[in-house]
Amino acid sequence: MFRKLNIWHLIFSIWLALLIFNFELLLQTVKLFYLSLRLLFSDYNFLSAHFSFHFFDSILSLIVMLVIPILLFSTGIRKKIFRYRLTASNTFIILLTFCFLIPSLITRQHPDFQQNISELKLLPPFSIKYRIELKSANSDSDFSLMEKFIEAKEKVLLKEFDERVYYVKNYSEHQGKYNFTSGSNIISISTDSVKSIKSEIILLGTDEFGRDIFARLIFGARISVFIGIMAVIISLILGLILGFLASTGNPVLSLSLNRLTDLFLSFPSIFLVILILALFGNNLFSVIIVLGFSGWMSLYKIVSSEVATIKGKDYFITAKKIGLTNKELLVREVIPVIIIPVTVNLVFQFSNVILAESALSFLGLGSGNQFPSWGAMIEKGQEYIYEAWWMIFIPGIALVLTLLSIHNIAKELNKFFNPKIG
Amino acid sequence: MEIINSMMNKKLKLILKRLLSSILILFLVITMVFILVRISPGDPAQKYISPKLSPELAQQVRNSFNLDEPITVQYINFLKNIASGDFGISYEYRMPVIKVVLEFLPVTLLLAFLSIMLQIILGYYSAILAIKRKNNFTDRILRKSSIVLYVTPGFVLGVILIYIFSVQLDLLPSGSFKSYFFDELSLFGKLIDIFSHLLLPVLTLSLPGAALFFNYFRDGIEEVLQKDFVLYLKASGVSEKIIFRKHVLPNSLKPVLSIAGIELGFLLSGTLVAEVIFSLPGMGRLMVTSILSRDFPLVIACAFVTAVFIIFSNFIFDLIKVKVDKRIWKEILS
Amino acid sequence: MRWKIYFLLSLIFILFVSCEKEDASLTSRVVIAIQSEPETLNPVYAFGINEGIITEHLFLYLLDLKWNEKTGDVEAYPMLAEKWQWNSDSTSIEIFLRKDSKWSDGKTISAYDVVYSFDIYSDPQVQSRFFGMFKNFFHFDDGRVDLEKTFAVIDSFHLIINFLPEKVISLFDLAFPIIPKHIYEKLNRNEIQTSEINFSPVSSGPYKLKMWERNQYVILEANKNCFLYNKDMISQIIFKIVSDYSSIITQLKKGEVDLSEDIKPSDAKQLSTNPDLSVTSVKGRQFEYVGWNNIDGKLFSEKNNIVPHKFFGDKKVRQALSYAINRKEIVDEYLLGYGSLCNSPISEIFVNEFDSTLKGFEYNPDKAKTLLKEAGWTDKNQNGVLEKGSLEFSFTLNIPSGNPLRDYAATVIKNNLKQVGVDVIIEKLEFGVLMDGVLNRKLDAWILAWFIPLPLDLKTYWYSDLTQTQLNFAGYQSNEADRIILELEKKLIKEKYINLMKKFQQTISEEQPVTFLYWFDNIVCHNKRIKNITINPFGPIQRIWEWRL
Repeated sequence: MFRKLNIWHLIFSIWLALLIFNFELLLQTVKLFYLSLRLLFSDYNFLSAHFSFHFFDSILSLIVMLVIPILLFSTGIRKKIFRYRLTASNTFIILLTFCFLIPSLITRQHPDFQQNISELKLLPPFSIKYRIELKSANSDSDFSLMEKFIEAKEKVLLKEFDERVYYVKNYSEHQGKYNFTSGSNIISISTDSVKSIKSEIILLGTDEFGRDIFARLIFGARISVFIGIMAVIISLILGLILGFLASTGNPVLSLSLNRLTDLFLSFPSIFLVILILALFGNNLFSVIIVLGFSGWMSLYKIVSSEVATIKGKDYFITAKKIGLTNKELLVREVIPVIIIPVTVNLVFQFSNVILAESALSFLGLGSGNQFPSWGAMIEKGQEYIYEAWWMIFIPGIALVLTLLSIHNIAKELNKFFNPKIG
Repeated sequence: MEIINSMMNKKLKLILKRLLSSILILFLVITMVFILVRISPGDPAQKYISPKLSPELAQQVRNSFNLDEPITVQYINFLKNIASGDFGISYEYRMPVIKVVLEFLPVTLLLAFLSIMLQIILGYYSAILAIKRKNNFTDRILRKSSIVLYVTPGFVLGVILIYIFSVQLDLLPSGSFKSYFFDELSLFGKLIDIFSHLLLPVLTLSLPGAALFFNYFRDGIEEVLQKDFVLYLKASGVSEKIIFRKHVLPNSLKPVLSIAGIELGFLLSGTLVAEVIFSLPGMGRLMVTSILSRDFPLVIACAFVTAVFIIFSNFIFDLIKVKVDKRIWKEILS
Repeated sequence: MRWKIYFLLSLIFILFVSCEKEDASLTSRVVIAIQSEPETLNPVYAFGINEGIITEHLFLYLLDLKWNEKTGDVEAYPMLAEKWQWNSDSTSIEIFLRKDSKWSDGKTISAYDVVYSFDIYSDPQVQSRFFGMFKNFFHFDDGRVDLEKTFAVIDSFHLIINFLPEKVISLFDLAFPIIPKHIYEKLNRNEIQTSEINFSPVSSGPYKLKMWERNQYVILEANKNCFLYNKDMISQIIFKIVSDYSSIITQLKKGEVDLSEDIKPSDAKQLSTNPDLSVTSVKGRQFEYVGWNNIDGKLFSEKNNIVPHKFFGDKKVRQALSYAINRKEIVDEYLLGYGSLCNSPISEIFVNEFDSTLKGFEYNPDKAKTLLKEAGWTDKNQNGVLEKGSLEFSFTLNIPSGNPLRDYAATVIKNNLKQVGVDVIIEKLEFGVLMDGVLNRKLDAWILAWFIPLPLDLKTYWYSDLTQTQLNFAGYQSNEADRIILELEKKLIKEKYINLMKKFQQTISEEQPVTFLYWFDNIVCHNKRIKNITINPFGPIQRIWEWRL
């Protein structure tokens, strides 16, 4: 039974679950999208002040949710990839991809949401908290376009803070008033002004600011994957350009490029990375660029050596003699050959980057705390290792599982392309 | 005789060529590091300037670091000094950087050699074990756990080991290189003291590497075992042990040795994470602290020593490869 | 079978190892964890805290200063000076030295060493850590003490020190370690920095250097020739370098380390439940603040013009930001009782000067919003960020990397300010880069801490003339504060002095050049086997010669 499951089964069921749980939200997003289109033509200045990453992110989520079924049921692609058998590794990678694309549909908690720290900090997994929501003050029914837009935005976008919501561990009801503590104060609110009280499970616990670790893990996956992808792209571009340059046949160029590669290989890249990050400051973008620049050597070696061998092969010489242009040669003869080892290398490179980012974070030189990333979570978790094991264990496990899955997939790929080895 | 001589000459030439290119690489490494540290923001003289100094006096102190000259002049002076073996005086330690590096080097050397030995030994024996019980439970366990070990980041492993052996079981010390009462111990006690301090860091360093070696040994040996000539040898009645030692092992060693060369290079360049977690005074930590405190002469010296080690260890393992398989002379020396 | 034997052997080995360490640690020694390697043991260059602590025990002072909790002031006791006598208008002091104090190479400590020490410390060529601290002495323009006018050596153990008549003299003007003339004399003055005496000092204190193993230990042992020697004194003090903070905690628990300072509050709570450990703290010496750049840094560094900053030049904005920051939450949740709210740069340990009536800015986001509105900041386009004209209220808050407390504070502050419509981006900078930015006034906002010097010094930190002091990072401009600071430099009767101090606190609190966050304690954890340990504003690791086991 289990063995018969394909990748598309999993994707479809996740999609369905997300659709059911977030149906209202998706409708609101549609509304927001519609309103912003209208505003685009009527009041662009107003709209542009509201552009933010999270705004585009929610629109993107909507698009992804629309595209998934189209992709799944357009038969051409489905046959090739989505029919692939489901394994533990690719299940994990699919989950990771969802976290990367649409985190705001998986968790409705902003990763930086913090409130009432004294009540919520360092709660273990599966604790229960109560959400007390107050009634909103104004309820005018006569909305202008802008007000409608703002209302929809409020509903769709995740909030870093909310003045109308209290989170507490416990509360008591006494003479028409809810009493609860916030820090050293006791707050009492009359029952009339409260809209609702719900209990929520904190799935993976909270951190030292009372932020939800589950939300941070989901959004952190996005940052870690983003760093990985961007750094790999940089390495790929560098490796390809330099590799092709080396194989143009110019001896001086290829010799100097070879020496450059040796130079980078003879100096542990982690030190170069630390050197640059420590001297020039570390943030998300510097980490991406530095990690990208420190990983191009293996790609360069693969490209230059593969191209060199192809050039010596009979079929290539024949093709050249027939009179194919350089472009045609590249597309027809070279790319099909190098794409396999390059892809496999890229996948390994990807896991190396994720690992390096977390190691850098461990040394305090990671992507910083502006965005939640797994490395940064592990770095923080170290400080609280005695009080809150979940702070370091959960991102740690996620990291090891990711690396393991990527590793397995790279091996699969390798096996798929070169059946002989392994 | 002449043929041998000419071969020797060829080898010598190849070695010389390689030496020259190594020197070039070293030169490029220190140049790169020099440029990086000099164009970076931040002022190494800052901490030596008392906030109560007037701006002019502060400038005087800054001048004493020779950081105000144009970068080209600095670079030429720097090269002159390096050529005469003078790496300068560490800002932080107030003594020649060579002396500082020599104080930190032994720990790294010790760790690196112990670790590479352990990696190869563990990898080899577990691979043999796995091959003997091929596709059986032990084999599968070894294969699975080797992948998990391989992908586990060193800092996670180190923290876990400390948590188990130091915090929970209280068997081994959690950090440092030796005890403060080291000098009063007997010879045997000294050995034990160092052993107990190094056990966890060496394990942290070795386990992922051992997993890597395990895979290489296992795949390599198995590939050779499936070759026809092994079957032929078996058929002609050569004992299994001899086949294994004389034919299978040498043929499967090439990838292992390349990996070992790279691995040793990295170990020698400082076993950074282990040194940080276990507070060992090694090259990795020296390098990072010198970068963070902007101790530029020390940074450059560390980079230099590190690069020397990496080049050297690659070279050594290439030589071993040649010893094992004479055919690859050309391939590696080109 | 073979495997089992190996296993047994290694088990025995490990057990053996864990037994071995037991008996060696019984002798009278104390292990103090320090996080970074001392750079030097030369008191002239002991810039860092660790170097300071170690050299304090290697070198004797003229007077032994002790902190009096009740008066919040220092008192002097004899050390190298056996007795002393101020003249009637306290412009000169007559000092009689002990005759039995010796350098570790056997030479006697004499008045010439004292004179020489002041000479070296004030010499601009030497660049000692005390340079510039001799303003109350007769001195030349380059800061060097005028030896002829200042010192009158009567004989080897008897000298008179004269001060500038119009200055306010305090005991701290004599609080310098005395260094051996006969050793330093042999060196060229600009070579002292790199000479061998940085590592193997000729010392005089109650302890002397036994061994210094790089990046591992500095071991001091009791100096039997010192007059402070007592047979009950701890015979060896081991300063163990443990760079990883969490290892310090582990080692404290295991008894591998006996004392460490700078413990995090969250660990303090948990360490105090350990029956062998005792947790105390040094209060009121360090406060943390959010620095707002009051002036436009770019214009200042280019043209030396002082123009108010586009965000923080306005007093109302600064007050609003202070109202918006929930300081109490940080103190309650991170410091866990090891700290208190800070309203001015003078803490309550200065019993006389401290103004306890000062209210400070209690968390009040509504009031913050009103003040911001008054200052002209409103959110017209309702995107959650205030603006004035086309300028959005959005800035970068810089913090040094690797400091968990500031990390915590910054995260809370970011969230707090977001609630009043101010957009904050946190950027961590490596400390050297951050200081560079602050000194050259390149940053808009930052979180740093001030360590309160003894004696109190306001001019260096808050005086308006930025060419005179580099340390007025915020570029605080206030006529009122300047007037008070200049007034305080004169000789005053005590009442007037205290009134001025209180007035200063009210002024600076009202104007909020920076948002004063909180005083945070230096938390010290030590093994209960150490007895008779004094922990007061002077620091946690002091007077080790008085410790007992």
